[in-house]
Amino acid sequence: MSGRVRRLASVGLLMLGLLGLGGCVDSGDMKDIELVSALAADYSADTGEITATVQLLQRDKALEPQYAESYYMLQASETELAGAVSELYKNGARELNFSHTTLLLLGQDAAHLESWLDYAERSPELRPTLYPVIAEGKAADMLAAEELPQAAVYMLDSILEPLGSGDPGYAAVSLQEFVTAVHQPGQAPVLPQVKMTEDGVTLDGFVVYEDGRAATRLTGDAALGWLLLERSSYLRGLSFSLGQDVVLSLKRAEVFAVVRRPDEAGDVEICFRLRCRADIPENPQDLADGAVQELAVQRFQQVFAAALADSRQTGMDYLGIGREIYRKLPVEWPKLMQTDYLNNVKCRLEADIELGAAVK
Amino acid sequence: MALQKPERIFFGTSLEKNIAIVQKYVGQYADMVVRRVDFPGGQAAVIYFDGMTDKNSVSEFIVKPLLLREDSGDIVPEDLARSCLHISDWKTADNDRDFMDSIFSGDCGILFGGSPCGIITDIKGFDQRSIGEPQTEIVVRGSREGFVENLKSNMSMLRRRIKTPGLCFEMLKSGTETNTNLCLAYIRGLADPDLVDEAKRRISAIEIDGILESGYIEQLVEEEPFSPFPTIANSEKPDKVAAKLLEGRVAIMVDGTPFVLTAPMLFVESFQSAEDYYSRPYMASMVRLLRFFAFGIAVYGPALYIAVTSYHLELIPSALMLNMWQSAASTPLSSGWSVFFYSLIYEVVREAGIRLPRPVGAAISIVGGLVIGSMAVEAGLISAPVVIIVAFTAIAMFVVDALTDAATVLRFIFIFLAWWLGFWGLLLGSLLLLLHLVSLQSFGVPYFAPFAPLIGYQLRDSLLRFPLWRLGRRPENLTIGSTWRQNEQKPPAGGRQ
Repeated sequence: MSGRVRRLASVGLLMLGLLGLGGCVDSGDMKDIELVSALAADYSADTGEITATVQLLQRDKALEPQYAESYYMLQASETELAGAVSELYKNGARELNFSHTTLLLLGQDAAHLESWLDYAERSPELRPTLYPVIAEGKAADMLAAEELPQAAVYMLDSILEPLGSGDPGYAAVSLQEFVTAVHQPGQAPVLPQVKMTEDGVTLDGFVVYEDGRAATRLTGDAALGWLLLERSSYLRGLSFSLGQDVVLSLKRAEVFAVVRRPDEAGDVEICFRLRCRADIPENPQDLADGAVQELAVQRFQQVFAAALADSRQTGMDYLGIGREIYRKLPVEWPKLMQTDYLNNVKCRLEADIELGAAVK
Repeated sequence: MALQKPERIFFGTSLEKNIAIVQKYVGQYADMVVRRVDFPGGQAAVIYFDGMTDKNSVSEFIVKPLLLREDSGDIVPEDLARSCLHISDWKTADNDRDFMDSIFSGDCGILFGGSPCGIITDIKGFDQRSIGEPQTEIVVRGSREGFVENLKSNMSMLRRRIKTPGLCFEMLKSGTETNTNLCLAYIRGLADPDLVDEAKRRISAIEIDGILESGYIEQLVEEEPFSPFPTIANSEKPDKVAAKLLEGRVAIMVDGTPFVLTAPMLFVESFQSAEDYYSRPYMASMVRLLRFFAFGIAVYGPALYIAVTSYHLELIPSALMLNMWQSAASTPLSSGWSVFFYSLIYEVVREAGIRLPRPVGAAISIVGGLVIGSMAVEAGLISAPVVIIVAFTAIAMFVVDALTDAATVLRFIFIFLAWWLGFWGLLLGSLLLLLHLVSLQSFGVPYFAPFAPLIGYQLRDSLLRFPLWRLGRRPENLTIGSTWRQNEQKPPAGGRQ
């Protein structure tokens, strides 16, 4: 072997050795892992501990994820979520694997803690595509519920990603989206909240975060307003009741914001332009398309006004008004953010609705 | 150091002494035939090896004319060859080595009493394989003719295709014991004279006792003997070799093998087939892309599987993951061991399939590929995805025939890298592989051209195969000849004026 080849071989081996020693890779063969389908976090004010619960798939029933019998639980408590999760690793029969974990279920008390977000941001286990969801009551109880017709985690998956669609639904806020919103100037992040009913697990509104803590809950038109402006690309299939028994089903919607520079009076104006296509699944009075369009525009204006009023009242910018100003007017933003811009900025909605065939 | 040849012994005027010199050179037990002929005006000895020379020709064209000779004047071998013997291809030799080296190749030698010079004539008569379709390069469209083991036949096949005075054949010899005839072919005016000189220099620098196949020459003259990639191409198809000669390459033909070497070789050449140029560009381009894809699969397929299943499970779609996870539970081996183990089994089966007689070999391949795989899955030794991956890789490997050996070696290297470091290993390996490829040269020409160095117009015949009328420019890194092989890059003739 020539000197050159020897040198090359030694450099190659050295590089491989350094990479191996660097610990930048972590293997876990498929046969030696336990698949985690969901991670739940609950906080107990009495003990000051966070309980981490992982729901694991039974390997022999892995192909039937809809049944509660296909899962089993592991629990561990610590003062921090990270500590509780690392405790879980010790309790598992095999290596826990979070590569296909789709849910981070936060108990109502845990949702108010900043530490879960800190863990979610730093954790090497949690994928940025998983969905954090707030559960009414204890998250672990929801995962363990056996009285439900289907496994809770399966029902939750179906709510967030409508079964068979392969796409996230309007209520699915990924960890990546949430973390981005947390760090984005002029935007209050929002997470969905779910509750358990006799029929199973259902969506129960949205929770707005401020400074890393759950601050307020969006319901009614405020929630609809947030959906309309922030989740417009996910609204396919969402129904709006327009009054006079007319129901509008959205097929496609998109919103873009036009920000006008401060005028002589120093006012900034934002115009949200909503363009959507919709079907009319219910129109018992056979209203003409023009009339339905008028009703729809009125309804969207009403929703927008309610959401804006709620945002101004609570002082939480979950509609992303500040974010739009920051993006379009980065020079003016530092000065504006010091002011009560939510109340000072003029906001309006322009809706352009294209109606498809009415479904009789 | 190869065995040194004995000193030449020059013939004298005594026929008996000359026969003794020849017999001493050959040895006591050689199958050499010495046929003495007393003809008017002298004596001669016709010398040949039994089974290598055509006996009827010897009788008809050498012995009979000598016996019927009317002139009884002095014996001058050259005059006899010109005026008496019925032979067309002859030469003279005045020493034992030159005389016998030709006879060893199947020629017939004639020694004359009173002359220190013998005649050698080409009337070979040994059995040889007839020209047929090459088994290693089967085409749907194109010539069915393949090179054979006979050097002269191979030369004629090239000459029939390139009817130009520029086509040169230079005869060389190599191998101290085998004295193998080699032929260096090139087209004068297209091949770089430096390239021809370099090829001759490298061949003449070979010191070895025997050249039994062109593979010997290939390994002894290439620049990077430790590289898994071949830097000298080989082919059994005369049309393919002719096409390469027309691009300014040189060909090395070796007596006794149908595989003709061509140099310089480019990496992209391995993905080109003669048929690409005979079919329409769309299909040819698609097949070309498929070959690159298949080579990628052959090298990276099992390694990617190991990397994904051992390090990057999140890349597997959830529904598939559940299936794979469940089936992995019943196997005792990790995915790394499974792939390695089954790849080894496959290599054993492949080797057995090649070496065994054809009917048995085919059966072994089927048994190996299907039965052993499915039985291994049923027995819980390996999981079904491993069989699928390794089997598909094995098929993909044969798509690019010229790089099968390289793909096999690289596949195992990448398996270990992925097993050890996951995608990091694959990335590192790919980087080193790329560095190696761009550093390779074949007879001074960068091996990875036209990608590195980037030669724009040559890309038209790399990943895709452009229409023939767009391939009018000769590769300038290979030839010194005229740049254009067509008048100009015009659409095909025969179109509307």
